Amino acid sequence: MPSGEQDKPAGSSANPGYPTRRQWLAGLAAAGLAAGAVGLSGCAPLWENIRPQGLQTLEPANSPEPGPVAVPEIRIPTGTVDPFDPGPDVRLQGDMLIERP
Amino acid sequence: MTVTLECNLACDYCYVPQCRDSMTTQTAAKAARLDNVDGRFALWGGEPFVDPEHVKAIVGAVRGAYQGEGPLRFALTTNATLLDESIAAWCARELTSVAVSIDGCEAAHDLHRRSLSGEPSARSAWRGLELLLAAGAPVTVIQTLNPGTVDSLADAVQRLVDAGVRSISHGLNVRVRWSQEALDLLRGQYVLIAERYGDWLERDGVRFSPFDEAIRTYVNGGYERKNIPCAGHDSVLAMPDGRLMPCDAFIGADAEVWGVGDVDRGIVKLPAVLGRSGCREGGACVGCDLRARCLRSCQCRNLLGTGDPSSVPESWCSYARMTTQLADRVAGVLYASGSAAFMERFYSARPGSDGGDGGAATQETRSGAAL
Repeated sequence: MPSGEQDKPAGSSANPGYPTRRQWLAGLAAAGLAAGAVGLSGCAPLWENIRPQGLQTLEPANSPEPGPVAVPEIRIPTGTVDPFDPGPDVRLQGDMLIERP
Repeated sequence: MTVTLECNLACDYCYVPQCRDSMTTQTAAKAARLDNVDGRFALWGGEPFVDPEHVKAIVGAVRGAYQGEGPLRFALTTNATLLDESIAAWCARELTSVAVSIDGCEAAHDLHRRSLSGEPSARSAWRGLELLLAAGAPVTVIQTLNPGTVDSLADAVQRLVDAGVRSISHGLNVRVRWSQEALDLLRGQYVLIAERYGDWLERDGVRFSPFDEAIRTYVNGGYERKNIPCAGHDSVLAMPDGRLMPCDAFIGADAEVWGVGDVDRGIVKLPAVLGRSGCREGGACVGCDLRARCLRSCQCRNLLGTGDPSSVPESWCSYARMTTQLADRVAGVLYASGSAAFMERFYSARPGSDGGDGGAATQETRSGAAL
């Protein structure tokens, strides 16, 4: 992150420089790809074409060949506050926790 | 499950009443047999390991009594000061998550977290953390932020990462006054952390709750209210004597007013004031652009912070805006750089999630079903 960058005005965080998951998946689908089919680690060239102009510029120059891919099942991580799940959503009580002694 | 209210520390910001009440194995077994229990049990106190054998007995009682369909999973919160190799190995073997309370490096930690006799606890806590990590326990470190302890926060987080901690959670103490100077100091530390976050994520897979949470809520389109463990919807707190409270925020509250039942009868009521977002009517959150991404409308937390379930502590608002703003900047940079670790964490599908954006209506439906 650039040091010394001026704070954005209040409210600017409502439109940050990255997509929601629905937008991202829609971008993949519009490009004929599925996240699971291309593998997330192989998607960088495609992301380049989805952000930040958003979903209008979808001409992946270096993306993998789409080929026959399954339509991804849209599963949106819940943002749950789950102390039991060591997976991607693990946070004890997140930053809402005051203190558990 | 409040395994015990006894603790070997007397942290000056702790809201749990200090006494020697402990849960019996019979009470634990009854709690395990409550309707709708899905196999997830969080053990805390007090300090559970003031009596390690008691903790093990509680876990054994739950294992013996639980008849639900979901797999049994145990989380435990500890100050880590009483651990030895044997207990650490037990944690690694039996627990899904071990939350260790470490506020920072020695000076910051010892400012508030001292023993009953006033002795510092940082050295033993860090030693306990090392034992847990060496044993391979799934550790999350909880840092409670106080105005006088944030000046070295970035260094403390770096030390945790260097020690091998891969999940760090922050909790703002909202029961104290945060001056603008203190908030600016905290922001400065978060800026330093933000500059390191990308490296931590990509190199070590570190999860840092203030940023992860802010990014995730945007990517997901906002919190799903039904998943906020508030007001007895998705979790309840079992006290040592078997009373059920909406959550840990009510541990010292009047059970006649705030209690929701007991382990013999289950959940029999919800206090009328609870059950929805605390800021739904005329609160400070109306019109706030961050509302969908902010957990701090939780009424339990509001009760702690202001004494009023519907009144949001000002420090929460400042903190949420600060962390969200920084998290968005970091996320924008990581997205623009095509970070594979960033994409995997925030955009990959996860089995078991249920999709959709959720909402208050969903929460109310669930609560109605539960009752």
